[in-house]
Amino acid sequence: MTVSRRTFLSRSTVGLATAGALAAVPSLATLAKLSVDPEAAPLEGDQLVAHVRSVSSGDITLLVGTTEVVYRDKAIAQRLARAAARAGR
Amino acid sequence: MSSHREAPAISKDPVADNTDLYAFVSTDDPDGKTVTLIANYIPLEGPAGGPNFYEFGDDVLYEIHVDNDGDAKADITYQFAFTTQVLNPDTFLYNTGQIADLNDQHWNRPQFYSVTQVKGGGVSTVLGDKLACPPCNIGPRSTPDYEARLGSKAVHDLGGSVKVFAGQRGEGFYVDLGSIFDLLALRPFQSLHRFHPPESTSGVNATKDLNVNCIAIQVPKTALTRDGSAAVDPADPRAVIGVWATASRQKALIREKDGKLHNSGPFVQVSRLGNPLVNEVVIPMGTKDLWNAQDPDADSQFLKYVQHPEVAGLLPFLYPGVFPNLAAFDSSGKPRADLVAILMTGIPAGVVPTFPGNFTGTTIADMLRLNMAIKPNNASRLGVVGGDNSGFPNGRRVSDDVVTIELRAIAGFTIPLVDNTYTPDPPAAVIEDGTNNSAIPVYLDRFPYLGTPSSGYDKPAA
Repeated sequence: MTVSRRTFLSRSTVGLATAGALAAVPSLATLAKLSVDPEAAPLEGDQLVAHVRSVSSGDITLLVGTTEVVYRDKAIAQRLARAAARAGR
Repeated sequence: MSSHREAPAISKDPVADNTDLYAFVSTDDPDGKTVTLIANYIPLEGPAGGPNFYEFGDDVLYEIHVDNDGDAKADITYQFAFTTQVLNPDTFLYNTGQIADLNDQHWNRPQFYSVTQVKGGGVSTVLGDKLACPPCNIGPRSTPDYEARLGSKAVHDLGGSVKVFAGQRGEGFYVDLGSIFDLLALRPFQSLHRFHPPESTSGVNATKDLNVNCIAIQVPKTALTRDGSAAVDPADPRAVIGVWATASRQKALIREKDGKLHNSGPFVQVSRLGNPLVNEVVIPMGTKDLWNAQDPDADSQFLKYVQHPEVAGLLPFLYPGVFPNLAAFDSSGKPRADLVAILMTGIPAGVVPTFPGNFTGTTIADMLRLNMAIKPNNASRLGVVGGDNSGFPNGRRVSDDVVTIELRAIAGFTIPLVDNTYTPDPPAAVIEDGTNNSAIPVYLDRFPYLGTPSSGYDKPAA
């Protein structure tokens, strides 16, 4: 699948708008539900990459296929940070 | 080098490393109606580099971009995406027998590619799919009669006067790397060097007999101009295009324990090339990786490095007493408007008396600019400075001596084009690294112009 920069940018715009709409979604459970929602964009395979860009702001970049979505959720970011801290002990 | 291993990050990722970019009116097209764009990748391929011989990255997005309205944004992009097959995973061999043609089942890792044209606004058109690359040139037992059976057969006619080729070719760029990177020594003039001045000698072409992976596409001029015009009038701004090439990788890479790789996310640019040697010797070390990740329309942030090139300051120091006028100019702090025109805006009409120009406007951007209305000839490997307007910096042909051209420009030879009070130091008109294209026997007089790759059996020679 080839994706042009312009196509990607247009997708990113959609993604950012989506992230804005999702910013009010508070819980990991809700995010998990969104991930398997048949109405959502299908995943390529059974995995995605989430990059917590900032625990304090809750910015999480989700990388799926050849797209990315910036998602903001402080609660999830902090739970992941606590899990990471536990793993690091 | 032109752009081989030119930045710290990309030097560790050769499959994605742009090495050279060429753009010229097709020299074998009697009507002059097509332009050839060539983007090379994977630097310094030793022909004997098996058993995993060189191939394009299936996980790399290779692109050639064309700006046709002077804003340094891509109006047309040609994307190349590769897929490699492994016919027999139970052998270590690249080829399990003689590769007699592109469909030969003895070639264990055939590679195929798609070509997609993306026009401004994001409209994509697949121009070709499942196009075969040639194998690498292994030797007379594995790849006999290479050019006739494999190389030439990998030129694909896509219709509409569009041709493509992707695969290994002989390196066409020539340069005395070993000398230049030894404190800018130029062997023909090294007796004048500040350090260790031996007798002057001729240059040594460090890329001789090496190979490169080449992506070439030939398209009608009418496909490149902003309005489909034919680009026949050199004074018509619509005849001028700006070209650059890139490689991009997906943002995230996960390495699995079983050796598998998982790529995710949008493609992020990791390599870029417009004019030769810009990121190589103009952009400083701490900025090179940033430069590779940027688009040309953001190049104003790098303008100061072109206006005050480091090499112009080094030449008077390393060659004491040889470049006094250049030293005085450099000390004055005046910006090098000549280099800005050559590399970042194109040369306006009237600056070089016999050259109609290739100016694309005031947008500062490193693009290889080609006035497509100038008919091809092969009068001088020194291009415009040699009186041949169909060569660099009006585009770039595979045989152009870009090292000498840029050396002379940086040494001050082109300052009088924009400052008639300046007198170049006499050596600025003659300096060179001592290599030339007559030592390259591998150019073709037809598409894709870069010649048969050296075979691993034959090179290096016994």
